[in-house]
Amino acid sequence: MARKKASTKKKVTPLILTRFERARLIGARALQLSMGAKPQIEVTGSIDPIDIATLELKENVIPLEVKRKSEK
Amino acid sequence: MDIKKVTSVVKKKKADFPESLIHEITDASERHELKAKELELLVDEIKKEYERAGVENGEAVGTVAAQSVGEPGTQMTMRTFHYAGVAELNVTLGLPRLIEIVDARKKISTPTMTIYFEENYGTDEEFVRKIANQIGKIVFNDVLKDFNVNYADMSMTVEIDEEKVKEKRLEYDSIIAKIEKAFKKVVINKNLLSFEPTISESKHAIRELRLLADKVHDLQISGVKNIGKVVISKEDVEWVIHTEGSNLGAVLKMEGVDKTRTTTNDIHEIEKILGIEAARNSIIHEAQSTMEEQGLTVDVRHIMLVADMMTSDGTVKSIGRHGISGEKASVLARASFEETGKHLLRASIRGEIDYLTGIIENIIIGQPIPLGTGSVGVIMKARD
Repeated sequence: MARKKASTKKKVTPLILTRFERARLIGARALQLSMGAKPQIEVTGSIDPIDIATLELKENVIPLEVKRKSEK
Repeated sequence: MDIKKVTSVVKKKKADFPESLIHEITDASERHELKAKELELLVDEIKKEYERAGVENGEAVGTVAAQSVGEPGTQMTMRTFHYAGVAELNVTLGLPRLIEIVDARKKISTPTMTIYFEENYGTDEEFVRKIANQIGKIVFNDVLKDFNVNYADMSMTVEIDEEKVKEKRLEYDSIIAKIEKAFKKVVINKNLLSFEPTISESKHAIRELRLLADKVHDLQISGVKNIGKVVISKEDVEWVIHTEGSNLGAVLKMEGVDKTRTTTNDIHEIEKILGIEAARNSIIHEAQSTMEEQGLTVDVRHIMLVADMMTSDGTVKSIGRHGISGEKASVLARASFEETGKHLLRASIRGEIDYLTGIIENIIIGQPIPLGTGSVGVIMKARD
């Protein structure tokens, strides 16, 4: 019985974030910022970590990604 | 644009649409007379919207369903009304009925069947009436003209009314046969029957005579098991029978009965005779009609989720501690539901381990729930 070679291409699911993933990413990034991480965007206006994290997500520069459970 | 063409386009686009949606697309394409290219564009757009409309991963569907079914429940009446539908027949309605459905009660308070007949038979009133008399419970007393109990002589005589026997389309001889089978000491003289009680002690003579009288009075001479009163009514062009009591197995075997439409409200009977998928459909149908009858609309998806949970293991399970809630793997979950002491004691004697993978246990100990936001795994992006 020949074994199927594992695909070397990384599996990517649709790029739209669910609202839970969005909330989690913003929360995790805001926590990092509050503990002294360097913001990836120019901070003008609000200095609230959650607001900064939200802006970062909009610009897609958050250094975090969601690990989705792959469908078999 | 016929349905086959639409189905092939849908398949080509790899869209997993349900049948009803494909029907709708076909209707729309016929109404607007779409060309092939336009149909493909349409399917593309629908596919995009369909995928957008889906429930997101991690959504607390169970809680939403429970609330969606429970909230209208607070607006339902607790009292049951009489004559729901056909006059003379009582059917349980409203909240008590919903509780029966969700508890998967084996014995329900008002089982009832609706019997439809096949094309030629359904319009024939005589035929339907005959079947109704065959199915409905008829006792000996219903065909008697006279019923005499003489306590002085310790004897009992009855007179059969031939008119009534004919009215009910019964066979005289089969009645006599049933009497002879049920009672030992009976003397038959044309239409007059006299019974003699077996008296063991003269003290209880009167009571024994009374018991014998009751037995003769209530002897069932016609009818299917478990079925009581039977009512015929005309719906549009055909005649339909509604019964008090339910015996789907026996009725489906009868000639002339439309096997595709005849139904009962007893979910366990449907599970036994027609299978688990039919039982699932029956749960959805019964729950929906109970809500609708009270004037409440609940999206069918919530009810479908409840029905799926109840039937996904192959048998109809109740929601409570004898069914789903009682089968949870977590000790804390079961203990927090009902019978707290029992579960905690048993678990500690057995040395059970709670792996804290479910919702309830994580709430109890104060950890994030494996649902919604807590179901998301976050990792640092690789530096490239």
